[in-house]
Amino acid sequence: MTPERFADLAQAWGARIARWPAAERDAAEQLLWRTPMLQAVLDREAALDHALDAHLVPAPGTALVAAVEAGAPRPARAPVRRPGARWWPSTGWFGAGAAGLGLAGAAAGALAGALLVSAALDAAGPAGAVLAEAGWARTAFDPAGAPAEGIDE
Amino acid sequence: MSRRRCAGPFSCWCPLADSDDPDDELLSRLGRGEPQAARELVARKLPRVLALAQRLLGQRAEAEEVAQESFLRAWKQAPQWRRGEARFDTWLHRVVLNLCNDRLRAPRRRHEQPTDDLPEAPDPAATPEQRYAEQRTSQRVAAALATLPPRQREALVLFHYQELSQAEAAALMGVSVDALESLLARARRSLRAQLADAGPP
Repeated sequence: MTPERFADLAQAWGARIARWPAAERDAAEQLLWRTPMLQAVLDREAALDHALDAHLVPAPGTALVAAVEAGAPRPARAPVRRPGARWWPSTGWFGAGAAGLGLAGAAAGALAGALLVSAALDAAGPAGAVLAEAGWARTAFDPAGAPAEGIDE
Repeated sequence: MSRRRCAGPFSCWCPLADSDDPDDELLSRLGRGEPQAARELVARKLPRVLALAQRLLGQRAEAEEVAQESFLRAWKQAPQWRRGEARFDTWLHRVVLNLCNDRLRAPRRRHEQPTDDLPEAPDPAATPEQRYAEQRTSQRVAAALATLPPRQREALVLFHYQELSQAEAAALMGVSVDALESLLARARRSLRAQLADAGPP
């Protein structure tokens, strides 16, 4: 380490020898101990370091902080099922087929029920017809209804 | 120092991985979706990012835009951050540098008028006269920084203000440590001359 190299290092890296290249720090410290006049070199660079440190940047404002935080990723949430949005599990075409079968079954049942009512009304005669017209028609499933007995007849 | 990538099959946050990144734990929490982790990361990094951008660009409004854009990229990257591959702070500096250099190279760069928004004095007990003198000094240094060639300014800001290590600053700039030393020496020589010409504050 020469005094010239010492000065070059100070002029590039500043007055703090701790921030100089690691491989040259020990030699620089030893040279400074042997050559006190080199302290003037460090003092000169320390004055420039101090002047540079005077340049301050205002802290981020609250609006900027809020804008930056607003972009942060949100924690993942479990999916919420909307009531009535879908009433059968999503199973693709199989699910659609099963639903179709259900609808077909319901339609067939309704048709059979209508035929039974019609037969019962035929068996009950005019009284049953009157009841039907009055909105009191009973089905074959009504335990209190006479038409059921009529069907057995 | 040895660095190795986590060999865990599903998580890049393997706790066994060696890492000297002080942001690892915070990024891990961010990856788990902790809202408080995002706020802590902003509190820790935003002032640093903003200071870097403002000293490189010399304009507050542009620096704030760069800071926002940098964090948008950080939010995308952070959950997938691979521990041990690089320091998050270094990666964030690279993002800011790239965004600033894009703006500095833009042919029709917006020229912002200097604002009257002066930084607050670090010492709240300072007298009004002392505060005024500090603010004037800050403005003089900012003006001197703005006249430096971009590479010299970049070297000085990374090493002196951001306090990156020699290796980190050199790697970010894509130069050797010797080349960084040369850039710093020229930058400091130029600043010394300009500040001396400006006289006492």
